[in-house]
Parts: sequence; C-alpha cells; structure tokens
Amino acid sequence: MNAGELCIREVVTALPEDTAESAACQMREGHVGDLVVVNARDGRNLPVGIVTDRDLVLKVIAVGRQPAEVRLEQIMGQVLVTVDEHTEISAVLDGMKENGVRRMPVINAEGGLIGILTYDDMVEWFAEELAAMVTLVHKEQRLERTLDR
Amino acid sequence: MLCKDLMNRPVETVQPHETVQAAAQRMRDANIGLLAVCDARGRLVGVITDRDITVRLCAAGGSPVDTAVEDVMTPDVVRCATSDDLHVAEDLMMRERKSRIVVTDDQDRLAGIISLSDVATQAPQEAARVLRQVAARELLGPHGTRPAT
Repeated sequence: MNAGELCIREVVTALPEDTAESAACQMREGHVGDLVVVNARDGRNLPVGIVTDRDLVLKVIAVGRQPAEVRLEQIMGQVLVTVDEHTEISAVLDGMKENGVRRMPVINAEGGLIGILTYDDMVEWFAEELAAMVTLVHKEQRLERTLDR
Repeated sequence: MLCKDLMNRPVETVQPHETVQAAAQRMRDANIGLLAVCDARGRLVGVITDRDITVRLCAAGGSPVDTAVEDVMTPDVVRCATSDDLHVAEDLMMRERKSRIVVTDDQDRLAGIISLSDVATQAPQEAARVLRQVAARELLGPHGTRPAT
C-alpha cells in the first residue's frame, strides 16, 4: 500500500491570499478540519501549506484578530512536508514522526496535489491489517486442531 | 474498568460570559482542543472546541473580542457518569462520533474527560474500532454537520 492509494482525494484547497474567514467557511461546508493551501500553476495545484481549524484558533482568535483581515499565508506553517504518491505507508509514518506532523499533502511526479494523508487514516489502515492477520492466525489454529484429531 | 478510573482531571474550564478570545488563549496555553463551560456555581452548561470556534465564529465573521463563549459553545454535552463502565464512553464515542466524552459525578458536576487516546492506551483493538466510527464524522451527517450559526 502506498500514499497515493490510501490518501483522501477529495481535499479542500485554498489560495495563500484567501482570508481565515473564507477558510473557515470552506471547513464548515466541506466538513473538514484542514485544508491545503496551493499555488495554481500550469493547470496544477502546487501545495505550499496546510491550515487547520486549530491554526485558526491559535493564530487568529487567541491573538484577537478579525478572521476577515488575516490571510492564510500569514498563518500557515513555514515549512510544508509533502509525500510522493508512490511512497510506502511505513515510510510515510517515519516521515511524520521525523517532522512531527499528522497530515501530509500527497503529490505526483510533477509536484501537483492529488490528495491528503492523515495519521488517523494510517492508524485505521494498520488496525485493519492487524485484525486481518489475527483472523488468519485463528483460522490456521483451528485448522491445525482439526488436523491433529 | 470504570470511567472514573481512566478519566483525566482536572478539566480546563471557561465561563459562559468570557470572550472567545479568552477561551482560545486557554486552549493554546493548555495545549488542548476542548474546554468545559461551567457557570459561576460550577454546573456544566456546555463545551467549546476548536471546531465550534472555527465554524460558529470564524466562518460567521464574528469578532473574537466581542463574542461570548456561550454564543458559540455546544450546549448539548455528550456525557457519561463516573460510575459508568468504560464501554459506555466507548459506545458514546462511536454513536455520537466524538473523540472526547465529558464525565460527570452523581450530582451532575464536571468530574473529568475521557478521550479516544485514553481508550487507545487501555484497549488498542477496541480503539481501532472506535476510531473508525469517530473518524467517519467528517464525511457523514448528521453529527458531522453542525448548525451554521
């Protein structure tokens, strides 16, 4: 399984010059807690940052600023960690640990955004893999017991 | 295991008449995403989260310094009792699609809070099942859809 296969493709995007207020509207309408900030170039969306609902609370509301007067480029993180769509999930997990992030935009070879991968998505996938392995072991044990008789 | 054995306390609180900016500052300083809203007598009257502030204040063009907590909080608190078995909290997380459940004592006073990560440390397999249900909240209605006020 790689990043491109597991990522969520319906990712909500915004532009660096969009306001915190419009980002919040997008989060409300898209039922999401984060969006990827992109520069549109040659028909591709090049990711340049991520903004979460927590960023809005800490960097806009806690400092008493008006959401309509803050642009996303002013509050998004300085460094964006992206992952290539062909990266194996275990390597993505290592990358998240190294960089201390819980979500990564997934990009293609041209650097264009194709989706977003979150830590929670990966935990869920690992949990399902583990459950499948446990079921397999149980089946084998039952089979062995049957053969022993 | 009972809820009182696993819950975290004390819970960070805010009063209904305080400003949303003050709530956001407390969330920042305590590094948490949820505050219990308690009145002057200590009764639980709601909770306020990152999401509440994003959807009901930022998206609505509200002012963080002129808006009271009670105007953006969620008044219907999903709660369980200190004497409930942990399964009650897990079932609530899945049914209500919430990653945090407030715990109250037999006099309906705020006692603690249980989060999905607490469940994860206690019962990893169970946590995966709960997580899958909770994570679906952003994609499914009606719990993922909050009033756009």
